[in-house]
Amino acid sequence: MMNQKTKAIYSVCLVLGILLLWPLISNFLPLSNILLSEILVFGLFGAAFNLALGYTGVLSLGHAAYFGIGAYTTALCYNAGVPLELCILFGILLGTAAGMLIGFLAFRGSGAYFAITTLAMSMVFYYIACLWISLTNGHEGITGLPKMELFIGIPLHSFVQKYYFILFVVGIATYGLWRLINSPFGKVLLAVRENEQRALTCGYNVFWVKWCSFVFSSAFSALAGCLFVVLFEICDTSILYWHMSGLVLVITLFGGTGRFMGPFVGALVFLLMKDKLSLYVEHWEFFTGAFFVLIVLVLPMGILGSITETLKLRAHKAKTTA
Amino acid sequence: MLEIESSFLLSWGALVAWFAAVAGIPGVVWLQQIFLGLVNASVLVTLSMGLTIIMGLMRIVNFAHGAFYMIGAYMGWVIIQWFGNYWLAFAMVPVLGVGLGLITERTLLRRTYGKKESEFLGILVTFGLFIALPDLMRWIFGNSGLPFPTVLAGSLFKVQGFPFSMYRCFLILCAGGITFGLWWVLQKTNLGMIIRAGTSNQTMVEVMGINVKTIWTVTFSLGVATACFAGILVSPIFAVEPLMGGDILIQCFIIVIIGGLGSFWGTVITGVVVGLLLTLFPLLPGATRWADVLIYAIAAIVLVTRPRGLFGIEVGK
Repeated sequence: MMNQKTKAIYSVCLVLGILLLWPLISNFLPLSNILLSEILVFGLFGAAFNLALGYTGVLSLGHAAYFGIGAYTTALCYNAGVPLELCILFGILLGTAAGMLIGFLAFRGSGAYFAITTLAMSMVFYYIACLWISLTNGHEGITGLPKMELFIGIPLHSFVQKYYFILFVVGIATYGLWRLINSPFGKVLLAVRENEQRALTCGYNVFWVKWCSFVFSSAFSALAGCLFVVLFEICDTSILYWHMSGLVLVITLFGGTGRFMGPFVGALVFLLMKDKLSLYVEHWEFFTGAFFVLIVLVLPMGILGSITETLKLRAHKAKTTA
Repeated sequence: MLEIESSFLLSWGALVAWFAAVAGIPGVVWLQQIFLGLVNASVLVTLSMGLTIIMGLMRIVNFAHGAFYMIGAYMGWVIIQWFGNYWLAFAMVPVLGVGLGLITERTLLRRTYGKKESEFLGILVTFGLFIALPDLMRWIFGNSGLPFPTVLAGSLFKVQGFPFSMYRCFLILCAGGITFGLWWVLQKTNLGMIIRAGTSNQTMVEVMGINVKTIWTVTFSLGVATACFAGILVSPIFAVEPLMGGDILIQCFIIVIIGGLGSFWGTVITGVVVGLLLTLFPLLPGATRWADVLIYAIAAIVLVTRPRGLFGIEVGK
């Protein structure tokens, strides 16, 4: 019997191997490189969101702001001739700064208050992007970016090149998130999620713990926004609208909150469904919403959460009967 | 319920004075914008009151409120198609709204009560409706706006050639009536007393042997009915389309934040001020479209200085 750790290492290697080889076989399968890249980007966005919702227990409805700021910064800087690596760095920095500011404002309230405040503050950035036309080109957005190329000389012209770049960055970011969640700080986050009062009594400064987690979450969201621009070379106001905050919430809940790989599974299911369903069903948004309500009420652990729970239960049953 | 601090009244006053100081704009334009601002404010107040009552008592952030507002207008349209009478729709939509609220509460929200993190679940369920319902309406009625008959055409009176449209005056009156009606229900009836008591201490009300679940159902239905009523109220003058409840809902959230969760008069006063700001601010030179950003900025300032909102009261669980 393998122990937990070897099992985990094997499964990570397996997933990584499949992802690395995917472009070789993607032509024969209904999941193209571009869709898989999108899934990775939104999976990272969801994982960042999950850090706040699943691991710290704060529901933000304004994560579009950090995603959008990352995207806009990357697009604008790259248009101005800044090397892509620096663009992404600036995007992360600005997104983090916005997260710090909004977190500072919003954590003065909790629960419902926090959710509404983050939503309202994210809409500020949406209106600014709409109105500051000389910079952002309004609703039309920024298009016609120069061909993507890394400063160190690697071209990112085709979708296969972009896919490998995104896989590389998302892989590193996911590892970073994993380390964060499994660090002592991550344990404090769980403590805050489970019982805020008790964490407070244990001497933790709950405000700062939540704030830090929120800032980390916004930083990784901004990174996802930067990668979104690298992938699609377009950036318009729709990525700052509350629909985007809703999308990441849906993706995270589909996969399962508080499960590390949940958002990636959620992104896979959701984007694949959207891609295939929208061909046949015009009103997939209705089905998304209805499905979302159903998941919240019937499968609160999400798809991945429910599968692992069922497997665990079955294993437990098998053990007790044997 | 109403606790006004003089410093905050003063800051609002200073803001208004600053507006008044902007010269070069003729008085009639001001009057016109104030009138339109009041129309705006009426809608915002009618919607926000329902939100704040539901939020105060049930601690549910009702994201579907904007969708119910939109559905109110669509229900009105269907009734007008069947019976050809706007006033019938006007009378029937609030009643149907109660039914809609009843169904939503009984089938969906009731399942979230008493669960772990029920506050989150309430937000999530209504958020799902917020995504699904506009698309459902688009599915049934199409994406374009629906034409509504004009009612109460003509103007009540004119000031220097600027007409004060009859229907808009009627709308402001209706909103005023709803506000006082709700205030009366909250302050003078048994139900209102229980709602107020539940807002400040839920457990105590349960201990008194009152069936809180029923009160929640009634309150939610009441809130949905006001949202639907707002929908039918604005349908002759605003565009009726699937997304009509989206942006206005976020403005209402802002009002509830600034006014203070669960504070009735705080919400009403803030609603009027925000409605006026949205039409008056664009009069300033160079500020044509920045009014939306302004109200968010105000919300941010309020949150920093008074996290509970201007008129918010500390509420216990």
